[in-house]
Amino acid sequence: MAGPAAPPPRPASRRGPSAFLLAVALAWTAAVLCYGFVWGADPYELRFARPSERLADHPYPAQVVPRLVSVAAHGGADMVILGASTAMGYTPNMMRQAFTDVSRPANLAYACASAEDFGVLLPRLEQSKTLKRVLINLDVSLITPCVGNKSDFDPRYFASNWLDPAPEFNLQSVELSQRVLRTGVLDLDAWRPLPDDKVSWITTDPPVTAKPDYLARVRRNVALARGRATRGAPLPCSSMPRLKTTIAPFIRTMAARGVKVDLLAPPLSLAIYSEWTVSWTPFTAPPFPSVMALQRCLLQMTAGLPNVRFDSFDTDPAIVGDLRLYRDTGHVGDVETYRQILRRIAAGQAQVTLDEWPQHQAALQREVDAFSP
Amino acid sequence: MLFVEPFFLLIFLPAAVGVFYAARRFGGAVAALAVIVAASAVFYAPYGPLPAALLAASLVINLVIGVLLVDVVTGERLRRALLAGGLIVDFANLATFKYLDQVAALAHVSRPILDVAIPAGISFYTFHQAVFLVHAYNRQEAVQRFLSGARTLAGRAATLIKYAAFVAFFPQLVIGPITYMSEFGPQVERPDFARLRLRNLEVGAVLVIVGLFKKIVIADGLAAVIDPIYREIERGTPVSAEQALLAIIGYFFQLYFDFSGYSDMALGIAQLFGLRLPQNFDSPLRATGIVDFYRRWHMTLTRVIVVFVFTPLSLWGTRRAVDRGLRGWRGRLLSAWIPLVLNFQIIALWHAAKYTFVAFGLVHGVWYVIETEVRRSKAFRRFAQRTSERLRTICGILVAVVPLTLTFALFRSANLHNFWTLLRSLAGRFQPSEQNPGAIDPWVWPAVALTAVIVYALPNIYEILRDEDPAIRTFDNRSITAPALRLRWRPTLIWGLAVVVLLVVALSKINLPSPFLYGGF
Repeated sequence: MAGPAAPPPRPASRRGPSAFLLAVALAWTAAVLCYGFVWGADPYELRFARPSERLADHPYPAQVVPRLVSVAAHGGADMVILGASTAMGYTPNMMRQAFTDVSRPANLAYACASAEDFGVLLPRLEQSKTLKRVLINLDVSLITPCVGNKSDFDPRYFASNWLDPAPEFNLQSVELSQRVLRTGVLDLDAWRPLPDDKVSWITTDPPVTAKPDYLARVRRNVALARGRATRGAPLPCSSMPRLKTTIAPFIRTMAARGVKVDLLAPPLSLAIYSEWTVSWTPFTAPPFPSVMALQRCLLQMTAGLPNVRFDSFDTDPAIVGDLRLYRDTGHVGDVETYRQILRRIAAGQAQVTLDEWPQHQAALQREVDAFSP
Repeated sequence: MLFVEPFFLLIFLPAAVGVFYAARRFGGAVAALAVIVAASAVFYAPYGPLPAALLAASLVINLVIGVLLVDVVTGERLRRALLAGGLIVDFANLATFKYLDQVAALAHVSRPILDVAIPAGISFYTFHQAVFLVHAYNRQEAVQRFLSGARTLAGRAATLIKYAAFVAFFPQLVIGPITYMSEFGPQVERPDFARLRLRNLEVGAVLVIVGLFKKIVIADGLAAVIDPIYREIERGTPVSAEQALLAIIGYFFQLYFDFSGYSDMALGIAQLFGLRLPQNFDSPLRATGIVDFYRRWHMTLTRVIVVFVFTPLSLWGTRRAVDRGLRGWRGRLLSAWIPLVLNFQIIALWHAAKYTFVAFGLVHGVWYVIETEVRRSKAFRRFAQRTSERLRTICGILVAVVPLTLTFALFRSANLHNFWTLLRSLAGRFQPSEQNPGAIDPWVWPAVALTAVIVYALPNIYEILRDEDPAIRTFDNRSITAPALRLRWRPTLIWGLAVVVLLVVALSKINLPSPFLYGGF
């Protein structure tokens, strides 16, 4: 039963620290100093607001985006896009070209953005005094757990935890800190090579129609789901409490300040409801009624507010019915389509009102039921 | 806190070590141990008030029962009842907070019963203290000596501090290694306990940095490429044969580097405090069979299960076999096979109540039985006489690696269906499918190959530090590293620069580090 005996102690006698220990201690000390530097410099403004710091005018790597909100809020951004993967394809250039009244736009959309995330991010964004426009993309990840992708949002960045005071620390953040202090711009050389209109996997993958196996599966799923893809009882808004407690109050606050808010139904392809019906689904309730409930509920909650619009392209078959424009059934991949969507929103050509909603939903339902890829 | 958090590594740990040695110098050994307890409390605080309260209650209950068993209660029946009571409290605590909701989920109960996160470290400190109680019941000398001061009020306070340090010592609190009192107690009772020795700092730094590198660079690097594949399978998306192969091989290495990285760091941190903990890993992926594997993998759990589960079961079975006059395979069935299969079920279920773990334990148990019988056979003995040890070692590794890799993938899979999907994918198209176009980056396979070289060719850190005796040996395993590669650490500038490179690479990759895989158990 007895375990092995405890080992004898090492001899105490030593002349002094070895070269090994000195090298390690030096590196350790340097790392501690770097940690303190990053904490103080706070490149993402997680702890201190610094109005002199601003975002660079190009798309950021996906994993960095959730951390940009404070710099956007304090650094003079006048338009932001909030949302998840279906909004990641918009670039600052596209935004500026479509909305002529904005000069410093930022896309803060990242994969799997959830309503819980918004509970952390929106209060920070509310601190902005320069916002003129906000576009909120109503991705399904606002009401479902994200399956298949990993969110880049981590609440540890925003938790004021004295046991982890500089959660962003790594060697890259050291370089970022000194760049921010020197130039006032949150930027790294490593982030710049992204071509302006080629953002991450969204707009760099080939379209659905260039993937024969995938297209065959989509066709099979649409055939299998025929007559079922849009079925299911309507969901009550009470099943999505975060919309009421987090997103709607933010919209009201922004609208009251005169900020123009666009709520965008993401242009999902007509095939996706069949995919969700047959192949896999992120929803616990039937997919089509879930998506409709998300959109209808926010439309109801914000109806009548000045400066707030609801925009949808769901009944435009030239977009949602054309799989050549999609990298998969959920995500537009075509850069020109992203530009067109923003242009049409800016021109007020995609608006749906609460009164028009029943016809809008019925039209979409008919298109989904009749869709053949 | 996590060992791999920059704040822990750069601020908390140096501060705790500094205060510890200062306390020893100005306040004595108990003051130094009090610093360990306080640091452990701070370390554990982020896990929340419920886990902290559970740990504190568990500490006090076990210590009181331990003192009663060693010093106060003399009647054998009462002592036995006390031991049973203590073990029931420990395992009831574990069953309630770890298994209740898991079993409810298996039984398709719609809502969790408790709906709380598993308290961090509960599996480890339960076993830690259960072993302590058994040793107290047996009046093991180290336990008696450790508790001998608990007769006066001051002595009781000191004993409580010492015991809290033994169980809650933060390097081993959350994920082990499971330490015996006979290993910990004598070290803190020595007159020279907590006297600063630079060699302890050197050896500790090597272990901490190597463990950090293993976790952040290798394990998390592998996780970044294989986790999406497992997620695709969970989502029901087909994966290619290449992706399935990568998921299986990658997890084999990931789990090892993650868990052994933690253990290296735990032992290194303990070294910084001048304490040696038992070794938990000894190149297990080079095992020549399942028997050898469990002498090298999570060794401190293996030894606890062997002593407290297998040995009593085997003795009971042997007695039953002798009583009934059973010989041959019938006798072996009772004395070895059933105890072995049960032994591995307990090891598997210790991780969690999941069907994949049940299957994992069953496969390893049956494999262990078969291998034991093969090694006992005359044919194997003849083979052993006619062949060199080197050849047998290579053959053993080649035979063991495939089932080990597959059972690791079983361990990783969310359920049996997903594991089966993964296996079936191996027979599918090698190239990524169009519906799952996640092509594998060209650097991935070379990186996996490099990882394999580290695993199969290079010495492990305990071999490199062998002159410094960095850990308490739990099993004596033979090294199979080629003599030319058996590096030996020296406190030189070259070694210092090499370790600094590992530190810099790890710090460049660190980015809100992911928890250790075994932290979930």
